Amino acid sequence: MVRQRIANPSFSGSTPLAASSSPWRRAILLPLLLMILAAAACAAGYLLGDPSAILRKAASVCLECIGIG
Amino acid sequence: MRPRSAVQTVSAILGNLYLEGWLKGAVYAGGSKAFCFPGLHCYSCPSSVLACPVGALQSILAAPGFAPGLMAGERGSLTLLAVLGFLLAIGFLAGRAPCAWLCPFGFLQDLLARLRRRHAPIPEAWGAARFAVLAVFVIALPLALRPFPGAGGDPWFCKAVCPAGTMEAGWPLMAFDGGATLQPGFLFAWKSALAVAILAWSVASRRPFCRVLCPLGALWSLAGRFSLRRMSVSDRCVSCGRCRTVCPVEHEIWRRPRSQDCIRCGQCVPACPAGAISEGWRSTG
Repeated sequence: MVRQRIANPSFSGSTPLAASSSPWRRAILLPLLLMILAAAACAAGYLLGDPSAILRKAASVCLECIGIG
Repeated sequence: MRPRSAVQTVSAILGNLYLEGWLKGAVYAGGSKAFCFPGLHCYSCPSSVLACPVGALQSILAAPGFAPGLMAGERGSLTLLAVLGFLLAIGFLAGRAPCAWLCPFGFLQDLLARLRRRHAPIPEAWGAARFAVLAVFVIALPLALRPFPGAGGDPWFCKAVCPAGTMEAGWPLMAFDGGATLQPGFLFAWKSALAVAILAWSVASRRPFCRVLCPLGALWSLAGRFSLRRMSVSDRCVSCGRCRTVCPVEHEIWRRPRSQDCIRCGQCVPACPAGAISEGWRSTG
């Protein structure tokens, strides 16, 4: 039975390709996906949101930052 | 000059290209200020050409009418996504690396630390305070503390804590104004005292603001757990502690290589006598 398992790579239900992609997924896929999602959120925010709100705040003296406002 | 110091210098220069502001005593108002600087750098600094991400985050949260219940489809919330997405993308790529390589306030603390050979240690547990600063001063207070429902709030981190704002904007702009229009009160005195205390602490200890108070570092710490860039320590490590002595945040990397405290400056890599520390991208293995 044990020999059968070793001899047959598809016994575990995964192909050699899927088996080799598993550590790849664990190591890189999640951080890569998170980074792409964050970058996409940033791009969507700038394209669909109101980036001039950041500009309005940043382009005038921020009295709160000085400690007066 | 060490490579990291060179990159920090270039970053500080690129973030402060509007030198004319220092002659006029006015802030830059060009379109680049709709984009954030990858570090703590006050947008009211006369030479600053980019927006401070922490200030931008707070100003969006404190805007009149902004409420968490209006998240879906609301333009203010989408703008919040722009800033948060920018910061998280950096965090997921390289964790706290911008603290080591790009942040001008981190650079200032590095320079101040060179004034002394021995530095007072900072208890590791104090690092939890930066997460509290992020949660309370950057998110909760600007969002919740409003004179009446629907009214605008205040950027409380800028207002009550930020020493970068005091040093880069408060002191220079007050000097330019000379008391003509700006009337400093208790807040200015409090923030000035806090900024002086942090400067003095930066001489006595290494990067105290980054380790204990910085909300930007806290956000990148959280994202850094999943970052593509990371440190590794092999079993060749003999726990000699040499890496801790060269580390700008005195991190014991051999104990926790994936720690949220590491700013990924990479100084420990060449310092390790056993060659046990490496820095690189997540591998496929």
